[in-house]
Amino acid sequence: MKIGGHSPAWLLPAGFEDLGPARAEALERYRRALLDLFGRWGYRLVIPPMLEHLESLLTGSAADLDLQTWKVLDQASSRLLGFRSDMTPQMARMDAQMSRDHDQRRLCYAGTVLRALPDALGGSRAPYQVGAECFGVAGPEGDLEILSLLIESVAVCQDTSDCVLDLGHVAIARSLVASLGLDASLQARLLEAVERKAWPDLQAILEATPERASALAELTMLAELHGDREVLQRARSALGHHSVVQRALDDLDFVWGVLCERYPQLSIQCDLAELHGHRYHTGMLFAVYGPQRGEPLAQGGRYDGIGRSFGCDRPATGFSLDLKPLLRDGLEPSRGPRIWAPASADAALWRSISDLRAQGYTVVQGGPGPTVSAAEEGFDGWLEARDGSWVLVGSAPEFRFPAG
Amino acid sequence: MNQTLTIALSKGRILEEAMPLFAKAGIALAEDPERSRKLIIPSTEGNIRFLIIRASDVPTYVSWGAADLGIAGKDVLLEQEGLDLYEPLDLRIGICRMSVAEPAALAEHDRPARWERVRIATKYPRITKQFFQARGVQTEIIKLYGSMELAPLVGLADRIVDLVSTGRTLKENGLVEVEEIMPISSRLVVNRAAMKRKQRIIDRLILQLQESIQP
Repeated sequence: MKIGGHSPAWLLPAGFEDLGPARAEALERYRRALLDLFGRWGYRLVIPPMLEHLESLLTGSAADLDLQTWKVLDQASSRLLGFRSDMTPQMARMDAQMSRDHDQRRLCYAGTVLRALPDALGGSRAPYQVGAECFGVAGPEGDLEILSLLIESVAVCQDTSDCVLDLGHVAIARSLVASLGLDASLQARLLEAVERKAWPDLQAILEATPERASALAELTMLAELHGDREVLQRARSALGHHSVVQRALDDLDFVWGVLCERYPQLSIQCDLAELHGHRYHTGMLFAVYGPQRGEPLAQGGRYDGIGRSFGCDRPATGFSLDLKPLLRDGLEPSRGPRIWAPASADAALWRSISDLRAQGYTVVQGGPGPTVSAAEEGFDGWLEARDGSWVLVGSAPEFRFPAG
Repeated sequence: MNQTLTIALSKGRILEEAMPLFAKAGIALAEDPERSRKLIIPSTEGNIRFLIIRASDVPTYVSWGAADLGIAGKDVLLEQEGLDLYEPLDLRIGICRMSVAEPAALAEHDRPARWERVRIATKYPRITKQFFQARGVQTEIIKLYGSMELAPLVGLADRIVDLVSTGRTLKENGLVEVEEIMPISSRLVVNRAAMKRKQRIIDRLILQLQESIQP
């Protein structure tokens, strides 16, 4: 093999891959199951385009997606277009543009998003995002609905008994940092340190502003505010004098209580320093972590007002999950028996095959050439001519098709 | 839940200086990794094991969740792009600094404040680029994998950016440190999902290590 030089054209670009039959079928099974679930909850499927004008993808608070958005020039209009790197801003745009006769709107979607930068660690640049977004329902009631749907969505894909739901609220750290009255760039550095839980860095930044000693104490307290529900109580007594924090804690407490009733088996915890997510998030944040994954299985949060720049300022909350990491090896679909039929133009054989297919069997008709051993090829049975009619033999229940 | 923890760290100075911290926390390696060729070393505390890997691979193992935690120098963390790890503790080990150094003869009349364009040999192109970019200095960066001190001696570069601890290697090769880019120490890094799923046990470890860190 020659290393170096031009790579052959059939090699896919870094971060892209084909999904073979087993993985593609598994992805499709998840996609269908999730969209069916969303449908039963009243979420309507929409299909936005893969690319749109860059400004509309990056409008308003979604600007932090800029680096990850792949850009191309539209030959027709000479305007810059971007491939979506996240579908939530598209949902906000669609919600804003659709008719205004609904106080609430529930939308769901499934599709590939693109990441402009290859992941240095070898991750995919084309995640397959499936998600649901609820517009027009303010407050914790909206989050509760989305959280319940998120939990049931994860349950569609895997056993949730070993999963952890992590709750956070961006307003807590943001309001603590804002209360310091520092300039915007310093605030951004502090929030970035909180997001990385880099408490030594946080301390170093604040030590340069010594008059903020009490603020430092409050911010570093965030380091300990994670765990069981009693954390909310501790946070209330330590930080409850900030009205924004108080409200955030009330909301978290409300959804926590109801989720415990609805999903008693699920383990729930909170992390009040959690800021992972997009800059467009404005309220509660949530993520589900499963075993053996370095990343969350599903995540989301509240992002009120993202539609403002599209002329529709209203509450919004939602979540999404990437289906590709769920496609483990050896994931064979559970399907009906597979039957092999010999190559023949016989009309009776054709009727038998059609009959079986109508009953949900998978029937593969061989081509001309050497006959395969159906059992060796992994078929559950095969059609055989006996006494002028076609008989299904093999591990599938034997069945004689009526002749003619 | 009986949870296990996997901690990734590199042989050499980081391992040497980290072991006393773990020892104070009641965790010792079951074998001496400097002698053993094993890559997974259990600890005397049954539910903790160590992965002995290259320093620059630590963030990768932890990012993917192959290790729950790791110990990595700030230099390694800053050099790798797109990392999404928690960095809750500065272990105050592996202390050194990232600096610009140049031949003593050049340094005699050189004025860093007047740098316009520099040709740098380094193992840390990303940190180097960011440092000089912030000062508006044009750079030509030559990426090397080791023995940076050699580059200015043979005309490959006019300056180097490298870790400086005692400064002895620089001195022996006729180089002097002219500008410190940043102080460096080793951090405890934690995988995001591990932090959530193994919260109690990781919290306890962080607390124990915090107590054993030199003030």
